[in-house]
Parts: sequence; C-alpha cells; structure tokens
Amino acid sequence: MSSSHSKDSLSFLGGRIPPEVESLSKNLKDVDQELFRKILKAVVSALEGKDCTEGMKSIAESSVIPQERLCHIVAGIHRLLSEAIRIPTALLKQETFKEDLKELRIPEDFITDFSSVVFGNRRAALEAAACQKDPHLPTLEELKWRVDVAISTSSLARALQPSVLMQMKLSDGRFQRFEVPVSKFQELRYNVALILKEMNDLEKRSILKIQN
Amino acid sequence: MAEVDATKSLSGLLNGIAQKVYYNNSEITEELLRSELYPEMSPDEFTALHDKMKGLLKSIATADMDHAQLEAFLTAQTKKQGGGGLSAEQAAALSRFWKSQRVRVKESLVAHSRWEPSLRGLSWRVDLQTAASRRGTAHSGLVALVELELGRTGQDSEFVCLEFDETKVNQVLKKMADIQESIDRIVHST
Repeated sequence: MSSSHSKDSLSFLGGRIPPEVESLSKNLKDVDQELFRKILKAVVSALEGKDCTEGMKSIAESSVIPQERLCHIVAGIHRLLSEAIRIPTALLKQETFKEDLKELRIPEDFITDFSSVVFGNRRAALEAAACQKDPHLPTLEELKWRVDVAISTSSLARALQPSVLMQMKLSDGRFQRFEVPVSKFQELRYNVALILKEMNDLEKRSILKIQN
Repeated sequence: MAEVDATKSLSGLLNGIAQKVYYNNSEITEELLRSELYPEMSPDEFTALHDKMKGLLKSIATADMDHAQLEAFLTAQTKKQGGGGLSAEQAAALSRFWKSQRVRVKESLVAHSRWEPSLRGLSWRVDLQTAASRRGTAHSGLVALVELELGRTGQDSEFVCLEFDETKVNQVLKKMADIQESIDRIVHST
C-alpha cells in the first residue's frame, strides 16, 4: 500500500492507485473545463457501449494538448469511471468519492463533473452497459412457432398428430429449429411457468437482500 | 394348459415383432423368436405365422385403428376362408396387444417422419447474480438458466443453453399460452 495515502480507509480505487489515474492530475494541469467535458462525454459514451470514434477524432484534431498526453487522460478517465461504476452506490457514497478524488489532486471543477456522471442520471445506463459485458449465456432474441398436424405419412395412413415447430434466434446469432411433440410441449410449458413462479417467489423472499 | 401356452407364445411373438419393426430393437431376430417361443415348429411354418402376424400388425398400425375398427377388421379376418384366416385366439391376442401398444406404436411411426430434431427434455436453474468483474453487485438479480436437449431419432442429443431474465420468461410463457390455444383449437375440432 502506498504510504502517501494516509487516510484511515482505502480509496475506492483500492490500495494501489492505477498509474493512469495517479498521473491524471498532472496530465490535466492546463486542460480547460470545456475540453475536459468533451473528453468526459466521449469516454462516457464509450462506457455506454456507443461508438465514440468520431468524437475522439475531433477532440484529437482540435486540441492543443499533445496526442500522447491526451491518450493518458482518456485512459485515466476511463479507468476512474469504470472503477467507480463497479461499486454499488450503497457502498460508495458521493462524499467519499469526492474526497478520494481530492486526494488525487484532481481540480475541484472536474470532481463535480466526475461526480455527476457517477451519481447522476447516467448511472443506470452505465450500469446496464457494464452488465452487457459480464460473461453470459446466449439469450433468446426471437421465438417463432408453428403448429402442424401431420395428416398422413409414409408409415401412417391416418396420422392426425399435432406437433409444434419452434425456431429460436439466439443472441449469439445461432438459430435452433426443433419439433416439439404435444406431450413434450406440455412439459415445456409447465416448466416455463415453474421458472417464473420460482423467480417471483425468490424476489419476495429476503434472499435478495444479501446484496448489501 | 396348452391353450395358455399358445396365448403366451402368441403375445410374445407380437411383442417381438413390435420390438423389431417399431421400436428399432435390433437384438430381436426372427430366428430368436422361433427358438424361444415356437421351438417345436418347423422354420417354414414359423415364417408363415410370423409374416402373417407382421402383415396384420402393419395393417392395424398404419391405419391407427381405434377399437371399433379393430374389431371389424379382426372379425373379417377370422371369417376369411382357407389358410389365411385368423383363429379366435389369434384375434384375441392381436386385440389385447393393440390395446396396450397403440399409443407407443403410433408415436414411433410418427417419429419415422420427423426430420427436425425434437425436444427430448429440459432442465433449468434459477441463479442470483451477486457480483461480476465489472460491477460489484448486480442490480437486476435473478437469471434463469435453461438447457434444452434436442436430438434426431437414433442420434445423440445436442444441448442448447440459454439465459433468461424474468421479463423474457414471461414473454415465452405468453407464447406458450398462444401455442396451447392453437393446439386446443385443432384437437377439439377433429
């Protein structure tokens, strides 16, 4: 742990401040608020999963700051914000966050801007975007179905057997097509209902409170 | 006593044929059936009996006869003159066999004409996501993980794993209700 950090509690960034965040105050020295806000906006939109190439390009072309320093600033802001968003608001209070940034010698005006990103109304969108990046199984994007009745087949003169043909489009782009005999369909429907019931029951129970 | 044995052998023969023809059990052969059930019969005699039963079963299965149709069919067969006719015992054995195996035989025949993989089973689990590398705690919470077992007849299963949040589960359940409704419409009108 760095000895320069003489606070009782650790910074939200942990014991060892990431170098790109550590050097932020130095790099931000003669950056005016207008430029800072432009960079901040671009980084936030990147964190939200949007394409920020154009925004970054125009910043790089119009700013007087050397390219390399600009890179360090962007990296620092990105790291600082993603670390802050990781921690639930219940555990990281706005005041503590501001204190920690002060400790890093970040200018007051910029601290206010940082704080309004982390604790403002962008928070939900940022969390949702971060959630997208967690390891996931594919999800169901589309479910199409058709109910068929086989009238007659090569081995059955009078089949008259209903069946369900389902086609699922998964979020990883795969398609799955399969037939569900009526008896299996009942099983499937029953289980889906059971899953929903289980989820509803769990939500009511206190088990969810372990999160805080 | 001899009559009881004859009935037993006959129902054994019908089940054996069903295993071989409808349930894809390759261990059952005509020779095995003869040596186990009719050891005293000559191969030619047995083949004639075997083929007759197999033919009758095929007619019954292909038409998926209900009880009344089966009775009419069997009565017609017993009244047939000459060697092709059916004895009353044979008719009774066929009737008993069909009563117990109709659903299963039909299912197997329907499966013969199914080319898409079919759903064999599913298992699921509901998880509570508590933390992730990019977030300290999840705000959404519950995730249902579902595994579908799919497979074509005679082939190994393939597994598809999916993840659902509550909204998605709800949407799928609504679709299931739609599907059910449309099945009910067909089943009731036939």
